[in-house]
Amino acid sequence: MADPVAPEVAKVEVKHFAAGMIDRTSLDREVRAMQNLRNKKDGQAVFEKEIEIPSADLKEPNFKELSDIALEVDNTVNPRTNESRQSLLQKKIEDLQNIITKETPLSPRQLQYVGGIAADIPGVVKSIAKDTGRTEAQVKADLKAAAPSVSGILTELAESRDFVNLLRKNVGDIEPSKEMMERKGKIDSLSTKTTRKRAEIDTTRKLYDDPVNNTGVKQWFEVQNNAAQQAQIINNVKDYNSQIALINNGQLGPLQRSAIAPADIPAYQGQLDAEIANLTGGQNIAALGGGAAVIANGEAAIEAGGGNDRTKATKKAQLRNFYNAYVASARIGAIYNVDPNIDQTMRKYNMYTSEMPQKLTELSAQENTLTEDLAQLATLKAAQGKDVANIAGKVESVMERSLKEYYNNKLLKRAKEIAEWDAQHKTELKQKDADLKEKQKEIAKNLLSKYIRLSHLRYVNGEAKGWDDKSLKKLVKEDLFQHSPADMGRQLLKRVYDKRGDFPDTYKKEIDAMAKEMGVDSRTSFNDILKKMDTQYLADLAADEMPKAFGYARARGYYFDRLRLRRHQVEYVQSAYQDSNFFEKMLEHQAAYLKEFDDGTNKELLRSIDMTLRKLRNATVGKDYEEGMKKALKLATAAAAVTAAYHVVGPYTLGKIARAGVNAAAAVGGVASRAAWTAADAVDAAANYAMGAVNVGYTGPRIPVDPTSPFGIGVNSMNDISNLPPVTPDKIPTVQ
Amino acid sequence: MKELTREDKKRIYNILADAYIEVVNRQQIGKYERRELSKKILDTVEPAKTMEEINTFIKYLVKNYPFFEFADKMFESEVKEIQQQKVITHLEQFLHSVK
Repeated sequence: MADPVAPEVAKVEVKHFAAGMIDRTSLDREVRAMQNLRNKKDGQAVFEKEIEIPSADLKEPNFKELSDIALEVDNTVNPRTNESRQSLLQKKIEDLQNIITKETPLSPRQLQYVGGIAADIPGVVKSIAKDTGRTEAQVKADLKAAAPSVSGILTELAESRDFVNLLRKNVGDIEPSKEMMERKGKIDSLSTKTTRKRAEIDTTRKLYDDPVNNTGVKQWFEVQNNAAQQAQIINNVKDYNSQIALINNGQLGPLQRSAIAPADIPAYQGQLDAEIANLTGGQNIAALGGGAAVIANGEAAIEAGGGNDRTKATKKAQLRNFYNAYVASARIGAIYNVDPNIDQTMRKYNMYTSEMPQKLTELSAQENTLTEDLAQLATLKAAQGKDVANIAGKVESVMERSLKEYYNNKLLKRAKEIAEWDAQHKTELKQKDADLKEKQKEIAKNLLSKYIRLSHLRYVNGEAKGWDDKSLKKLVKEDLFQHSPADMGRQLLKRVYDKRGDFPDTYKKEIDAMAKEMGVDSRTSFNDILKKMDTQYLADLAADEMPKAFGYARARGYYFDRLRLRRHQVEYVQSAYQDSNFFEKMLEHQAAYLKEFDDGTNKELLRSIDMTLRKLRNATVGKDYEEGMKKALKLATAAAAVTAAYHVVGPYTLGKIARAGVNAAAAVGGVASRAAWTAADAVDAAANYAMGAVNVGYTGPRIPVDPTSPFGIGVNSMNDISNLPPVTPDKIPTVQ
Repeated sequence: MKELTREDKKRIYNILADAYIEVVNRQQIGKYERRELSKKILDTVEPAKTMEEINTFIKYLVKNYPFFEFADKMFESEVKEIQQQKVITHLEQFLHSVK
């Protein structure tokens, strides 16, 4: 198990908002309830339940009322924006209504309305910026314009139940006070009244006294007529009236006239004339002499006509009436000639004299009242204006208030919850990842410790046939100086993994299983895992395992190749592997390696090596090992043979043989001579010395190399040795 | 067309309710407009006398409440079924009366 990883910090992102807007639990409850109703009863019941009156605390927005109030808001158009506060407010009310009721799909303006507010919430902007990779300034602009990149989240927001409910509640709370309503009533009625009164006053004024427009009768008489004309008017009116009085006489019977049009006068006179003729026994006005004579002559005629005194008196009176009417109508006609509009003149004059004074007095009183009323109206309107502005302000800010409230109370909280869940989830994943990495390291170590040796063997048909000398050589001569420690670690692991196909089946299966545990699958290769493995760990692995590989190489005799190492190369190796005990370790490993052979472990390997040893033995002719060596290597002297044997089997081996004493001597071909012993000793000493030479201060070859030996350089070379089969000291048979 | 019976209306309400519940489930309608829409449905279907009125109303619904689009086909086929049923009923009645 890896150490607990540092937990992910919860960061609120747009997707957390989006997740937060949907409150599925309560929605599911409602949907279930509806379905139940549908199934138990019917569809109609579903709708009937839906329209049920909501709880008392939920005030529905009254958009009509708000719109009416909006009409009272200042509508002076701002020349810059071409909008008035009123028009902007009306648009807002429209938008709010649609956002809440969703009567029509949301328009761009409505999305921009929401977006404009969202742009002022830093948390929202930051989250969107992080999510989309745009800068905060760009996101703000996007939100204000409801650009396509943010229209998704804006639509979701505007359709989120919780938000719309909150908005609806807040808009519903905006209502005019009772006072405002009452005041509105007063204002309306007072407005109507003052408008009407104003009109009446104006009309009256226009009729009677309108100095401005000169339409009043006062102006007509006093201004439009000079003194003479005024006198004339008065005269005419007086005259007309007196004349009318004469024809408006009840005594005239059917000929009584209250007024007479000029066109009718001749006919009227005719009628009067006829009446007079009737009274005078057929003498009309003309016959009677006209003028003043008519009465005198007429009366005479009546006298002469007979009848009692009363009748005569009546007739005479009638005569006078008719004739007066006749004369009056003539006079009236004359007046009409002078003033064809005498009727109008009369009327005007009448208005001027009898109506006007009173009207003007009334007017003054009315105007006083009007002034008072208007003052009161102004006061009311001012107060109302304040309230209206207050309401307007509430409407103008409701979207902002609602969105911020929603953000703080619901969105942010929920988004935080979801972000925290997200972070926790990530932390879990991180932990899993860390655990896997630990496992991978463990398995890598196991792989190497178990199989690094096998990976350096050569296999044929699943059987180990010997060492993969080429790779060991490469390892020693090239790889060491071309790869960093971590890379060397990878090389070793790769080697094991790549060669697993050659290994016997059980090993292959085990390696595959281990690889699988590390996470190798169809998508992840072993290489992928190696690439990602901690480099320090790989370097440490290399430091541990490389010496082993070196040990094998040395056991194979490549130690000699080390002789060719230049100083800087040695120093490189030692510094690169940061292990001053590198070669001690190497020796340890070699010792361990050899010990395993002593223990008889690795039977297969031993078997194959045993076989090759026998081959070697058989190849050497006879029991005389030395002779055999001489022969095999075409050596001239025993010393040479020993040297050669030393070269072939390595100093340790030889030393061991030597230490075996007589057997060794026998093994060396029965050379029990002192020389041989000495030589063996020398070899042993040399071997020890050589081994001891493996330290930091190594500066060059210490092993005596017989330069004259034909195998001096040659034997050191790879090729010669590679041709020889591997040997194991213990299996060198004692030559009988 | 003959007048809509109580049974017909019941079936129509059922069809509309199914679509409506789905819309609510899909979160495509807010609480306020749910009330409005329900009211509208009741106000239209109750007094409706002919199938034609119902058809017109459904077309209006699908047009003005885009989320009803998915139910359009459903409406069409189910309503058609009611109509066909009516036709058959009338036919049967006719045949019976002709005896």
